[in-house]
Amino acid sequence: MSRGHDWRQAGLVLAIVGALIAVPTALAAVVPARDRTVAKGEEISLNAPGESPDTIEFSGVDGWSRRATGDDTTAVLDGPRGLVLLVNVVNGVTDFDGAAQWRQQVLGVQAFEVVADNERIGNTHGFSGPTCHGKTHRGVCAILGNRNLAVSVLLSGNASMPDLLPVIYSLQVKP
Amino acid sequence: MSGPWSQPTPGIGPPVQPTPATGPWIQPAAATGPWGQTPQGPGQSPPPGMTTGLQTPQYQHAAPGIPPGRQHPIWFQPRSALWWVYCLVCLGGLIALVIQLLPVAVITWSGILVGLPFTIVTLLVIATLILWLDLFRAHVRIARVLAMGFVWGAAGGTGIAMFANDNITRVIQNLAGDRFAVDWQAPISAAIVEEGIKGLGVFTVAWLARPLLTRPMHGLLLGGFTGLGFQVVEDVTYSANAGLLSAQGDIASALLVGVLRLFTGFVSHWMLTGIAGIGIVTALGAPGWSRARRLGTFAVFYLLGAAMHFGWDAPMPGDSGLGSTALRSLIYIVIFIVVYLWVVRSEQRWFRGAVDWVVAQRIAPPYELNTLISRRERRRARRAQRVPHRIARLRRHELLDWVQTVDAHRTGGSV
Repeated sequence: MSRGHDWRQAGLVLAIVGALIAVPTALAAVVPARDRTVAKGEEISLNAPGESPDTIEFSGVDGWSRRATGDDTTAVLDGPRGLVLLVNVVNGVTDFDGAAQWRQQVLGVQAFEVVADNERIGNTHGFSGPTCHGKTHRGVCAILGNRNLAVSVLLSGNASMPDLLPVIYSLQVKP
Repeated sequence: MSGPWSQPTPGIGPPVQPTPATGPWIQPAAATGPWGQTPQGPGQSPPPGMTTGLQTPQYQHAAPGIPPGRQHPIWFQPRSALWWVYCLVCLGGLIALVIQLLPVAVITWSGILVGLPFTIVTLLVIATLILWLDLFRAHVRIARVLAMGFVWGAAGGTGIAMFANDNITRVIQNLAGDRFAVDWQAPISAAIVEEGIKGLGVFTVAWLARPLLTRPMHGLLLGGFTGLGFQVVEDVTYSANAGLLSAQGDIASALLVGVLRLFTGFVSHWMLTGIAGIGIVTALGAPGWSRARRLGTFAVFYLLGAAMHFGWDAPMPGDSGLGSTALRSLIYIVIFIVVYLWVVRSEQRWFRGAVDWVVAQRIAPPYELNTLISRRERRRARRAQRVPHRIARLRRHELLDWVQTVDAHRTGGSV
């Protein structure tokens, strides 16, 4: 086999690599998002496998559109005025202050960088933790802990903390 | 140089002067041939009282990695368009990997550092295992080829696979919904994208290395190292992502991921792509095979590798974590052993053919070469010779490397 005469093979490899990149990209762009409108009073459950309790639920997003994430630990919902809500639960908290700091950093990867407000918020279901707001984008957030669970709640867009309160107040551990 | 075992063979080059004795049991050279012994007829046993120890058979050959007729070594072929594609994919994949991993690595670098020793141990252990599986030391002639496969898997494969996986999982989520996606997005995406990009690497390197790779063992080795490259970089990405999934970003999660990846590493990408590589390499390079046989072999082994990847990531009924992982590992090891025994049988057929040719050409006597046919025969011969294990191993390596070189000249895939 003399070198320099492998254009066909080169073209074939390049075409397959291109297809592996381009076809999923094109399909992802073409296939419509599988959004589902949240019914009135509907509770949304998230599960983080590990020690018990491992499931939370929240509401307060009636009429919002829930995106498919393929991830039981995360919910993403589109609301009015272009608001986007991200809720994520993790299991295995042993030091909540450390967890709150860490989950704020992780929000920088999941969404955008946030900074702490030096304020705390809580609800009657035992969840409480510090609030935060977007550093590079507009948005408000909170990291809420209850026993071994930590929940990140972030509302991006032209939002203020009162917009997030219905979600925070409804947050509870699923029995 | 005279005598029946020292006939120069066209294409091989004349045997060079025997080197000094390589072991204490070797007879002083009344050397008249490359084996440094009194010539004997084919099939004859060594005389009583004489060991089968041989002196180093050496043949002149070109610089390693540069087959005759080539101006450049395998890893540098600027006149080949395919080689430029290889470089482009590796470089592009590496850039894609860095771009995708960097934002995570910035905050989880400590997890990556914690996982690094496990990744290095995985690399060393699996590489040693793959080389151990190579009964007749086929890897010695194609070390640079294997390195090219490893680089494709590590640099090119992971970056492209991460990007494509993200998009495929999004498509699956949007087409089939969360419930289906949670269970099936990983197996579907991995079987298509990851096996596709690694298999393409095996094809590319095998084509660039033609006609060096002709046997199923070559495919197992190239596929194994391509998969291993992918596996170790994937381990790094798992260590990085472990922090994102952990509650406090402590190193415990990275430690746990490192340990799990190390133990499951025995049935990971190296094995899957090793199996696929058997089909790809034999389809490209097996001499004298019909088109149908090539296509059939390619389809069987490539699809087996992809199906095993699908099965590994798929949910099992009554999934119980470690228990199901152990069961799946056991099943996969059994499947691999069956495939490996087939490869070994084909290697033994090849070895017998090479030895028969060597003997027919009156280049070397058969008796010592015939003791190398299996590990059992080697042990038996070593016990009979009563030589230290280390010495016997050195001698074995010497002979096997020689047979590989002679066979390469014989078949035209010389180095």
